[in-house]
Amino acid sequence: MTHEHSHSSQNGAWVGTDCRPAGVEIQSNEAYHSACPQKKSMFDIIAGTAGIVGLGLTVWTLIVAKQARTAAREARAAIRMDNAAEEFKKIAVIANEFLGHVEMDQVDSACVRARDLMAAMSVAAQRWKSLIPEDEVIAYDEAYAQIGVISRSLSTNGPPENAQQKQKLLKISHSVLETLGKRAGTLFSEVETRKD
Amino acid sequence: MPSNSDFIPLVTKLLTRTRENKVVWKGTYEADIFVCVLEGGFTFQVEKGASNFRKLEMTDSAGATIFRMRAVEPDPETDRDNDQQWEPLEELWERARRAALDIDKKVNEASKILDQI
Repeated sequence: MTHEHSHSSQNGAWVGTDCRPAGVEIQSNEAYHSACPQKKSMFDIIAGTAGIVGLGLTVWTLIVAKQARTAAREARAAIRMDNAAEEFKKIAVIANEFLGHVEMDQVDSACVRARDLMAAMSVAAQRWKSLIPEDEVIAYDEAYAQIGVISRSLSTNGPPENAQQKQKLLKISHSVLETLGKRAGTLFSEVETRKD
Repeated sequence: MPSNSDFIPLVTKLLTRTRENKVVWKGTYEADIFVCVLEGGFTFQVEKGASNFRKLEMTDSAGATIFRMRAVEPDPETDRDNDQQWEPLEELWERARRAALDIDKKVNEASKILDQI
């Protein structure tokens, strides 16, 4: 194939945009570039620049994708923590109601709320296991055991026999409420901190 | 199906740790029931019943009962399993009570007070 050109040779140097000597046929790119050093270096610069830009774009895409993944993960964790906080708050409300019934010597209602409380605590302990710190797990399980004993005692023996027994019952019930309220409060605090 | 004697080694281990004060026993609303919660959500509840029996129950973190052991004071009519379980359960209950109510410390304090009178 013959290419048209409008260049000339001056003292052996090729000038113009096409540096092929007249009548030279180009058989391949390699041959073309070896025959034209200026074109080759230009091509290398463009190719190199394109490569660097491409690499930069790839790195940037990866960074953006990673940031998006991290943001999505954080959003999921925040929602999870929010749900856990709400659930522990509900448990604390049940514990509070239980305490109210105990204070009013309403044994039947207290027994029902104690059962509700135990069921809710058991579910929450399994569901939100990872959100209860190790040092609070023991207090949580102990609260569960205490409510179990109270529930059984109230349903089989009835209300406390004397003021001292009632005092003990109230003390333990307060302690249980405190444990559960603390967990809910800590989770809400963490949710708020994340929002900030 | 496992029999209660399968759990005797665990009860013995719990008793050993209780003797060494390495587990914490707590009192409950019922004066004769004591609880001990271990890491991992395992709860032991030891009880002295009205008819003088001793009972130990182990539950997991979901509140499911792992095993329940009950023994009465041995007499010629009680069976071998009961007699084998009585001794560790009786000692465990007594030690749990001492630990939960801090009896040793209180006895020492009372003794000091009596010395000063």
